Amino acid sequence: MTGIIKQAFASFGKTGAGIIFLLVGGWVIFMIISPQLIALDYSFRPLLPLRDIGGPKDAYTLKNYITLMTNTLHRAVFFKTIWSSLLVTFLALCLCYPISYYLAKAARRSHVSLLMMCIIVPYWINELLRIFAWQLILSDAGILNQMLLWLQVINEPVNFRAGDTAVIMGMVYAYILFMVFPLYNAMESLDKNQIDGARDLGASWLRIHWKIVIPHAKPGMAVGCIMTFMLAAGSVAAPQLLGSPSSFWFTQIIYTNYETANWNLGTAYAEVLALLCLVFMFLMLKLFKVGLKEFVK
Amino acid sequence: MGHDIHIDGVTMQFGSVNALTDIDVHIRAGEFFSFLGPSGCGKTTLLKLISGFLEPTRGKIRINGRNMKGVGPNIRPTAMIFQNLALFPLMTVAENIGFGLDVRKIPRKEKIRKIAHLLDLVSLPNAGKKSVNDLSGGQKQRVAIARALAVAPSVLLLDEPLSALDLKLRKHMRFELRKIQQKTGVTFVYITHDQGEALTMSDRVGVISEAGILEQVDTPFDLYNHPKTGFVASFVGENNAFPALAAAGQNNASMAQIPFGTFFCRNPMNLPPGSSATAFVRPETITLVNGSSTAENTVQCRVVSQSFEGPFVTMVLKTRDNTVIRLRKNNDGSGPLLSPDAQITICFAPDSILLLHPRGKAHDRDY
Amino acid sequence: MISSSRILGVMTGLYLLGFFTYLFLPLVFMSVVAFNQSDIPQAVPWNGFTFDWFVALFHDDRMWQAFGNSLIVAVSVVLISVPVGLSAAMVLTRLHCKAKNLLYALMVSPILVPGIVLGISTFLFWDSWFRISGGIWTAIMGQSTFISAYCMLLIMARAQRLDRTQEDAAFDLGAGHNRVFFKITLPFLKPAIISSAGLAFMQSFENYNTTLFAIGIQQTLPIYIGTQLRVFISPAMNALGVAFILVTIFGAVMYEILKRKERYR
Repeated sequence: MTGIIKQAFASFGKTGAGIIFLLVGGWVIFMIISPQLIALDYSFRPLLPLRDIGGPKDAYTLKNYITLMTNTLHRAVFFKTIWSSLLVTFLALCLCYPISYYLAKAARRSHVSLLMMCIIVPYWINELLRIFAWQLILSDAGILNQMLLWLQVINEPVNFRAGDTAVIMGMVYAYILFMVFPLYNAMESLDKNQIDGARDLGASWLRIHWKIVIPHAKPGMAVGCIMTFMLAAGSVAAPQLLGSPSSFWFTQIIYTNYETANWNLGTAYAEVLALLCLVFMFLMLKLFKVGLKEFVK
Repeated sequence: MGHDIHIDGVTMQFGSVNALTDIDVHIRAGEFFSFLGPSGCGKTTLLKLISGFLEPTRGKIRINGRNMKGVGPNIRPTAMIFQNLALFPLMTVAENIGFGLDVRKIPRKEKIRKIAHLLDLVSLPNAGKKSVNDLSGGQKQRVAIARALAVAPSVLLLDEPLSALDLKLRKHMRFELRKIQQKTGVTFVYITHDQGEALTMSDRVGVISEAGILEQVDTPFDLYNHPKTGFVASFVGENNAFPALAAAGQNNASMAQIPFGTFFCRNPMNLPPGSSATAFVRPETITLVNGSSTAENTVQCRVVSQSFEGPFVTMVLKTRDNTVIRLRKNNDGSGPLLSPDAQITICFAPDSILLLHPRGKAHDRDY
Repeated sequence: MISSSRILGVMTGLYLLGFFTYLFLPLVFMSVVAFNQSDIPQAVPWNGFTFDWFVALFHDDRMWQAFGNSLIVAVSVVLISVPVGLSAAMVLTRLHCKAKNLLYALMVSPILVPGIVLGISTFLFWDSWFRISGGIWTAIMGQSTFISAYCMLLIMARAQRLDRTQEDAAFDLGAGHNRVFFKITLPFLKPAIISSAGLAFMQSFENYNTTLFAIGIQQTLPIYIGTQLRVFISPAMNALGVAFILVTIFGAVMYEILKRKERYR
C-alpha cells in the first residue's frame, strides 16, 4: 500500500496524487462498492412495516431469493428472460458479423467512415424513440399490417406483438451498435495478408472465416455478446413499449416492486439479474478464451 | 560551464540482480566522457542514475561536489538526450527548445533570443516554426540537443542518440557533437555500444562489461593500445586471443607460451611464470615475413581465406596446430593477393603480444 | 458467364442495402408520422400534412422542464465522469501493484451490470446513508457510476500509447509534475478526453434504465418520453423524434466539417 502511494507521488506529485486518489476513491467507494453493499443488505432483509424496521423481525433472511424460485410467474419470467436475451444476442451476432467484416476488411477506406457514421447516427436518437418506431410498424394499425391488408395477403390485422417477437426484434435493432463496434475493432486488426494468403492457398470463404477471421475476432465477439446480453436482459424500454401482457420481462417485475416500494424483493431480483449478467460474462470469457482487458479498445 | 561528477561505489540492484556493481569513476568538468559496453550492460541504468530517474542501491553520486541523493531529475543540473529523442510532437521546434526556458520563467524576449542562438549553434537557423514531425532524423537530433542545452545544464547526458541515424549522418553528427561540446564547455556523458563513436569523440572512455562492472577508464588511445583486462582487449577493437601460460625468458624477459610456440610479450599485470593467461595480438600488428624464417617471434602459417576490404586486406591463417590467426595488412597497391593455401611466415613484434588475465575484472574479484 | 466474385459483389450489395434499410426505415416511418394529421401516431391512413405536432411539442412545458433537467444532469455527469475516468486511467496505466487486476475488474463492473441495478442501488444508498431521496442528484450519481467507466476505457486506450520518455524528458528539463501533466500528458490525451466528454454527454442524455430507478419522481427527457409513449400516446413524441434526428444530422455534418478542417490545417 505504501508502495502504491510512493509510486503515485513519484508519478503525479503530491497534489496530483491527492486529486487522483480522491476522485478514484470517491468513485469506487461511494458509487461502486457502497451502493452495491446497501442493495445487498436490503435484498437479504424482509419487507417490514416502518415500525418493525430495526426491530427483532429485521433479521437477515433468504426469503426474497427463495420467492424467485417459489413464485411460478416470476420463475417463468426469469427463465424466459434468459432464453430471449440469448436469442437477441445470437441474432445480433449473426446480423452484425457480416457488416463488421465488410467495414473492417472489405470496404474501401473512404467509405468506411461514412458507413460508420450511418451506423452511429441512429444511436444518437433516443433509445425509446427508436424502439417506439417498431411499435408503429408492428402494432395492429401499424404499417406492416396495413401493407399486408392492402396487398390482401391477410384479411385482418395480425397481432405481431403477441409473444416476444416484437420485443426481441426491437432489442436486436436497439443494440446493434454494441455488437458492431467490438466486432469491427477486433476484425480491423486482422492482417489482410492472412486472408489473401489463405485464399491463395485455395481455402473456401467458409474456411477462411472459420479458421482465420473468427479466431481473430474472438475477443470482439466476446465483448459484443456480453454487452448485448446485458443490455437485453436489463432492458426496460423495449418490453414496456413493445411487449404485450403475455411478454412480461424480468425487469418489469423489478420495476413493479420498485413502484410498490418493495425494495427488498426488488433489490434481490436486481442482484440476481446482475449475477446473471456476470455469470454470462464469465462463460463468454471462458468460451472465447479472452480476458477482461479486451474492454480497452 | 561543465561540472565534474563523482560516482563513488555505485551499485544498482533490480530485485536480486546486480545491474551495476561498484562503479567508481570521476568524470572531469568539461570533459567528453563515454561509457562503452555491450547492450544490456547497464550503461543506460548508469545514465538514469546520474540524471536522477533512478536512485542507486548503494554508493553515491556527486555533481560539482554536491551529493545528489534525493534530488529529482527536474532539479539536477543535468539534461538528458534520450535514445528516441523524446521530442514533443505536439509542439513546434521553438516550443520544444523553449520548454525548459518556460519552466525557468525566462522573460519572453530573452527566450526568443536564446532559442535563436541555440538554433544557430545546432545549425538549424529559421527552423523554429517548423513542426517536429516535418524534420529529418538528423534535424530532430539537433533539436534534441538544442532543447537539452537550453536549460544551460552543466552536464549533458546522451543515451545512444545517434543509433537511429544512417552511417554517413552518424559520422557527421559525431563531429558536430564534438564541436558543440567544445563550444559550450558542458560536461558530456555519452553512452554507446559503438566503439567507433566512443573512440572518435571522447576525451576518456569507461568500458563496462556485460556483468555491469567498470573494467577500465582511459583515453581512447590507451584503451586501445593498453587494455588492462581481457574484456577490454577483446571488446575494444579486434584482437586475436590465444590461451597462454606466462613464462620467463633470458634476463627475466616476459614470455608467453602459446600453443604454437613461445614468444616475447608485454606482461603489464606481472603475471608470475606458470600462471594461465590469455595472449592478445591485434591483427594489424602482425607482419608478413618474406620467405621462411626461423627468427624469433615468427611462426609459419597457411592462408585459409582472405577478404579484400579496400584500404586493407584481412587474412585468416592457420598455424600447424590449427590455431586460427587473423591478420590485417594495409593495401599498398602492390602485388596480387596471396593464393589460398599458400604457406607464409608471420612475425609478432615483441610489444604486440599482450599477456592478460584470461577473464575480465569481474572474475578477478572472485578469487 | 457470371464469375463468383461478381455474385459475391451483388450479394454484398444486397446485404448492405438490406442492413441499412433495416437501420433507417423505422426512423423514416417515425418521421412520417410526425407530419400526419391523425390524432394517434400512425403513418397510414394519411390524413394530410401538418406541423401541429411540432407546435404542440413546442408548447409542452413539462417536456421543456424534462429537457432542462436532462441538460443539467448531462453536464454534471460530464463534469464528474471525465475527471474520474481520467484519474482512473492514470492509476491503471501508471501504478503497478498486485491488486491492479482486481481494481480494474471493479472499475469496469458498472458497465457489465444492467443499468437498473445501478439505479436501484444508487437510489437506496443516498436515501439510507445521507437521507437524500431520489432526484436530480441521485440520477447524476447513478449515471456517473458507469459513464466514468466508459470514459476510463476510452482514455486508457490512448494513455497506453503515450511515449513515456516524453514525460521523462519534460521532467528532466526541470518541469514539475503539474507542468508535465498539463503540457505533455494532457495535450496527448486531449482527443480521447474530448471524445469521452462527448460520449458521456450522449450516454447521460440518452439514459433511461439507470435514471428511471434513481431519479424518483423527477423527470429527465427520456423518462418523460417513456411516460408519454406508455400513457399519453401522441404524435408529438414523433415530432420530438424528428427533432432528435435533425439535431443528430446537424451534429454529424458539423463533426465531419470540423474533421476536414483539422485535416487541412
